[in-house]
This record gives sequence, C-alpha cells and structure tokens, in this order.
Amino acid sequence: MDVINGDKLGDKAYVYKHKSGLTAYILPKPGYSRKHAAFAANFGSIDVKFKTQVNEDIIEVPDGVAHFLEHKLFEQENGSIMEDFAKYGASPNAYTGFSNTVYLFSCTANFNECLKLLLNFVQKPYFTNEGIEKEKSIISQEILMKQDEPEWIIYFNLLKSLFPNHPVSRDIAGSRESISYIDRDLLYKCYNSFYHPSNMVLVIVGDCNPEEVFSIVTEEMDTITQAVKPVEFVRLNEKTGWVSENRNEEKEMAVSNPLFQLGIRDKMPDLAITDKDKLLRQVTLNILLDLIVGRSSRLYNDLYSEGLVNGPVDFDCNSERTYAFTVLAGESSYPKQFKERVEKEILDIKKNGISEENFKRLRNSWYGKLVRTFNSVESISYSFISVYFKGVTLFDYFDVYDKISLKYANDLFREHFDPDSMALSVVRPFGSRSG
Amino acid sequence: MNIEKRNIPFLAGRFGKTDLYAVPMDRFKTCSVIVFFSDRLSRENVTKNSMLPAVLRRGSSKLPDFRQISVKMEQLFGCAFECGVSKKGDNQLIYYYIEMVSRDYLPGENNIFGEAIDILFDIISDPLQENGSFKQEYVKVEKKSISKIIDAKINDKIQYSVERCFESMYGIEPFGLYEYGYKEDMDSIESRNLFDYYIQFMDSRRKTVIITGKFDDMEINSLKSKFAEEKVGISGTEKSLFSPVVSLISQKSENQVIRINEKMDVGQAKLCMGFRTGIMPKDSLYYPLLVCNSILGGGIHSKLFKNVREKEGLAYYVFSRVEKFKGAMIVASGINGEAATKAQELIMEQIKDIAEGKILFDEMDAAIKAIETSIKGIKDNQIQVADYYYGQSLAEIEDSLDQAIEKVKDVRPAEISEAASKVILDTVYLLSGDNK
Repeated sequence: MDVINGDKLGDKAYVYKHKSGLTAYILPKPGYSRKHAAFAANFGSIDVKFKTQVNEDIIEVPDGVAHFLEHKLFEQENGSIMEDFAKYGASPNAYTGFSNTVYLFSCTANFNECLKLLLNFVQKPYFTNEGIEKEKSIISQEILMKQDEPEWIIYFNLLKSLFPNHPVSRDIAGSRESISYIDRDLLYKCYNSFYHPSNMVLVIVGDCNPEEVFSIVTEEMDTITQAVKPVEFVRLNEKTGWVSENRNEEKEMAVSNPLFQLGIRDKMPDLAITDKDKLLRQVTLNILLDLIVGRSSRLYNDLYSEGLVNGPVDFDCNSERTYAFTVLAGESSYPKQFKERVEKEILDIKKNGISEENFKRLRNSWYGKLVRTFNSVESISYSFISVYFKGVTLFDYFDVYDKISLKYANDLFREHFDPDSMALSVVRPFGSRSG
Repeated sequence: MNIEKRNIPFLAGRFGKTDLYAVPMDRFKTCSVIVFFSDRLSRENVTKNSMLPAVLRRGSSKLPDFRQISVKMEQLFGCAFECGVSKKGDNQLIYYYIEMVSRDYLPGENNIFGEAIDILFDIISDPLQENGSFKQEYVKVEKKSISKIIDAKINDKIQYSVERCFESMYGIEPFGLYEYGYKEDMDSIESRNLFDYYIQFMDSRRKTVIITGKFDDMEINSLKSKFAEEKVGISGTEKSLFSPVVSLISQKSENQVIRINEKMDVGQAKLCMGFRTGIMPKDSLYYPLLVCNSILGGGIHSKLFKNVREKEGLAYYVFSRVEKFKGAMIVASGINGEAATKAQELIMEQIKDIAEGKILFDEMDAAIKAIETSIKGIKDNQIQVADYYYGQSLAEIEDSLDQAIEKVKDVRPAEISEAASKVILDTVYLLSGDNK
C-alpha cells in the first residue's frame, strides 16, 4: 500500500495493487457521512473498433454498446442487483462516458457489504436474450428523453462539426437502430476484451479505513478472478478529417431563446508529451477560456450589457485519448454575432499578449475551484476517475498549478485559438431567424 | 470552539435586523456565508422580489459594476458568489451567498474572509445609486434578463411539467406563482419605484445569515461586527422570518380531477400527476408520508421503478416527490404518448396497493434506509445544511437532521397505509408532441 500526499490540503490517497492487475485508491474523508465507491473500466462510447489477440480480425460494434453493457451488468441470475443495494440503503448508479464506464454506489452504512456487491456484480456478467430485448425498450426511452434536451442536441451537433465521422460525434447511447443489432455475443465480446481488472480502477472516497477496505478488496478479488490473462486489445481509430466544411449547425426546438455552443478543436500537437504536460495543457486552456469570456472579462461584461448574451457563458476543456477541444456555451439571441465578437477578442489578445495581472488572478481563482472539488466525495470520485486513465491523479493538479507560466499561456493561446479550428452549434426556437 | 456545537446550527447572535447562525463543519475546505430574506409569495410583489438580487449584484457603491465585483472575487482565490430567488411553500426566498477557501488552506498568510463579507454585504445593503435610485441601465438590462429566465421555463421539459402541474393544483394560492415572476409586470417596473420598494423591503425585513463550513471564532466575530450597528426596522415590529407557512388545504368543490394536455415539439411525452394529501410537516402522519413516498417512487427500490420501468419497460425515469410545505406529492414520468393511460393506471395501482397495506417488508425497509441515507447525505453539503435548517425554521419545526432520521425509523406499516389513503389525485398533466 502506497500513499500519495495531497500536501496543500491535507488530503491523501492510499494506493493498492491486486495481483489480478486491479489498482485501487482510497481517499479518506474523516467526518463525512457518505462513502462513495466507483469501479471504472477504460472502455467507452468511442471504442467501437478494435482488434484483440484472441481474434485477429477487426471488430466493429454498433454505437451504444458500452452504454448497453452498463445497463445489462445490473442484471444478475437472481434478479437485479439494485435490490441488494437497496437492502443496505445504498444508491447504486452508473454512467457511460466517451472513454470510460463507471459503476458506483454511495451509502452511509453497510459500506463493506456494498463494496463486495459492487466488486462482484461488475465482474459477473449475465446476459439473457429476454433481458436484452427489454433493455432495448428502456434505452429507447432514454434516447428519446435525451433528444428532447437542447443541451444534448447542441453538444452532439457541435461534435459532428468538429470531429466528422469520429465516434465521439455519435450519441453515447447509440440510436434506436444501432442498438437493435446488439446481442449476447457482442456484449460478451466487448466485456471479455475490456473488463479485465488490469484495465479497470477502483476509487473509494469517504470515512474509511484503508487497511480494512483493501483487505476486503483482496478477499473478494481473490475469489472472483480466475487466473484469466488479460485480452490484449488494440483500439483502432477512425480516420477523420479536420473540422467539417459545415461549421454552423442549427436546429429548431421548443426553446425560449437560442442556445449556442462554440467549439475549438485542439490540434493536440504532440501526443508523445507526458501525461502531466497534457494535464497542464488542459488546465491552462481552462484559464484561457476564463480570460476570454469569464465573469471578469471585458468581453463578457460588454456582451451582457449589450444584450448579446443572456447570462454567464460556461466553458470547459475536454480532452480524451484521441481528441480534445474547448467549448463556450450559453444563451444568445445572436449566436453568430457572439462568435464574431469572440474571434475579434481572440485577435486582440494575440496582438497584445495576456496581461500578467489578469493571468495571475485567474490562476489563483482556478486554485479556489480546485480546492472546492475536495469538499464533496462525489466530485472527488468523478474528478479522480476522469483523469486516472489519462495517467495522472487528482493530486497532480497541484503540481501543474505551480508550473503554469505566463509564457506557456501566451504560446498556448496563439496555438489553440485558431479560427480554422472553430465550429458553432445552435438550437433556436421554431420560426426564429438565424443570427 | 465548543465541540458539541458541530454540525448543528447555533444562534451566534440576534441584532437589529439580523439573526446570525453558525454551523461549524471542520471537515470542509471552504466556508460559506448565506443570507436569506423571506417574503410571503404574492402576485403583487413576486416579480419585484426577483428583480432585487438581479439588480443589486450589478454593482455596489464601492464596486460599481459586475466586472469589478468579479475581479475582486477572483483575487480572493476564486470566492464564489451567487444570488437569486427560490420558493419554500408559500414563501419566496431571496438568497445571496459566498463560498471561499478556508483560511487554513490558503497559500501564505492570506486572510480573505473580511474582504469577502464586506463585498457581500455592500452588494446587499449599499447598492450603486444614480440620482437617488438604482442605475437605470442596470434595471433596464435586468428586466430583459429576468424575462428571458421566465421564458426559459420551457427548456427543461421535466421541470416544466412539474411546474405546470403545481400551477394547476395551486393556481389560486401563493404557491402556484412562478418564483421569478411574470413578464407583464416588467412594464410597470422602473428604477425609481423598484428602488423605493427595495428601501421599504430592507427597512421592514429581518434577514437570516448562516455561516457554515470550516471557520472559527474570528470569522464569527467579523460577521458580528457587520451587524452590531443595525437599528430595528422603521415599521417597529420586525416581520419575522419565522412567518408560518400557511397552507390552504382548499377542497375542490366537485373533487374533479383536472386533466391538462399541452402540445409541444417533444419526442417523449412528459407525464406529471399531482396529488393532495393534507399532511403537513407538523402532523403525526408526516414521516409516514415520507416513507410512503419513498416506497412509491423514491428510487430504484420503489414500486414505480420496479413496475413501471423494470417490469413494463414503459419509462426511463419515473419518480415521486413530496412538496414538504404544501402537503402535495407528484409523480413524474417520461413515456411514449400512447402509453399515457396505461402509465396512469399503473401509478394509481401502486398507490392503492400501499393504502391497502400491500407493502413487502423489504420495500419498507429499503425505503426507510434510503431516506436515512439521503438525510445523512445532507450533512456533506454546506448549502444543503443551511437550506434545511432555514426551511425548518420557516415551518416552525424543531426536528434536527438526526431527529428526523429517528422519526423515520419509527414509522409503522399501518401509518404508511393511512398516509397513502390520504393521497388524492388532483391534476394529471401531459406534455406531448403533436403527432402523439
């Protein structure tokens, strides 16, 4: 068992590696009521094409398999595992992302029992034809529900422009058509390739005793895992071009005012840089977005006073294995004008450089946001897993914070914010005019 | 600080216009200060109340625009600041809060608390003035901004279906009002009359200030010094923030169920069924009602989840929820339009089963445990703790989080059935697409 110290805040993580290849982390949070455990596989919606040494042929799966698998794992031979969690008052849940799938629970009592349940059900797939057919109906409803959500539609339309033909641009749950092709064989094939402990991670956050928890993990994993060697897989990527010629996606929906997302695809210039450097890049891009259009920016305040945006503009940098981009999102009656103003501001900043005062202030402000993450067991777990498979831990953010320099920020700004990398996605009310 | 005082609010001081509470919770990395004003919801004032925080946050006399306020907050290591309105029963709440990194976790010798609360209370009590009233431009822009928020009600279809259901159930009562107000009121609002309203509001209202998270006597004393000079309101008697939430359990004359079908371009229909129970937080059947709700639709253990989603595959989401301060319950579900009738029948069947005592031990046990988990979970969030205790005080209930858990655990099956028998259908609201 190793320890990582989060020195500045006093938080720490204990690390443990089981002989099956599973790595487990515990981040103790004394005094908290809730305990949170998440068991994640490095397999997500973008993993639709791969090769394994079991079968040399290329395997292509329909969209939505990772998400379907997530739903189906809850079905066990004697019913749904949800009822077993319910007996302990725990809330189990799961989510499928672009590059990983996470099974989790939170509880305020009976943690050990729930942890055993989690480790067991995720590693004991039980797929029946009847269960699969019923799930298609439930997931169809989920897909329909998402289709009514403007933010969801806008986001995927943006991804279609930024990453044409890339699996990231397709709904995580797939479509009603694509999931109709899913059967037992397909699910087992994906499961056996990616759900090996060496391709997974367990993250526990809460008022827990690391030694006690790790001994439960050892005991369960010893029983569960047969000495199955991991299937060696190679993820295959679609060949995709640069940002689509059509950089303006618009859709009419029942919304009150136009909503927009402006995305900038990252060139990811050197994929061979270290994982910590990639994290540095992601954090710095977030600070740069704040600089352009955050609450203290000249641009945001002008746009708000002029009525060109209806409220704060949200922003984020998303970075995964094979793609990365930044996005600005909000509500505006004139999304195209918003885009033009952002482009103008970008030119201005490139011309004059970033002021040291603004930069330092935003860097400190970002530090505050990082600290707030550590207030909640859920946000610690979520943030930890979102970077884990990229080779870094949550505590590496503190190292990165010390490294962000004005020069680095200026260089990155010039490199990333390129009009040729931009696309705009809009959802507008029926009958409204484009602008 | 006294170790017994942790996790439960204690009254740190009563001043001219302020009640100051503190909830020490050392396990957090931050401390928060939240300020609540409470007003009776009224058609006359609801929009003006939602305009107040919107205009105030645009500038104080010392920091006259939003940009300067934001710059200062960022300098204070990203101190978060939010304000707005919300609803609790028949009360409209105006809230302002800040959350900052606690002293122990700041680099060097930094101490930001004093500055942060200065900014907060300047925003609330010392607004930027122009010719003796609010800056005209700010009022003009915020009228448009709040109007857009009101319009945006339709964007979240699930939330919208619940709002429309409550509107139907409580249209004539204060609770039926939309907390952000109404666009048509904007025509008669301008900077002078809004400012006069603001002055009168501040003079006649007490506020509740709650500090939570990681802090010490130093922070409490900083806060106390802000209120030490306060004089009591000009009206003489303070409008108590503890004004009881009066619920008119209005009986419908014919006891007819209201059915509303609204059309909008949606792929999935949103069903919301609204029920009246007449059971208020002080009633002996209140905790049994919470357990009844949990058994019905309080999570994956619930009858609705098992029967409507898992067994019939009719829905991806189906849940029930108690509106604590009105004795109401809603059941909401996203379904295929064609399945609306079947879904309603299934839902009513589950409620009937509970009323007839058809509750498995496992169902009740899981429901009670789920409520316990969720109440305990409130303690892990500073704002939720402040909100919980403020709500309790508005309804004049003493139960702490721990006491609430004990009462839930004491609930007996017969009481659950009795609570279920009081669940009367009032409104069925369905939002569906044109073709369905």
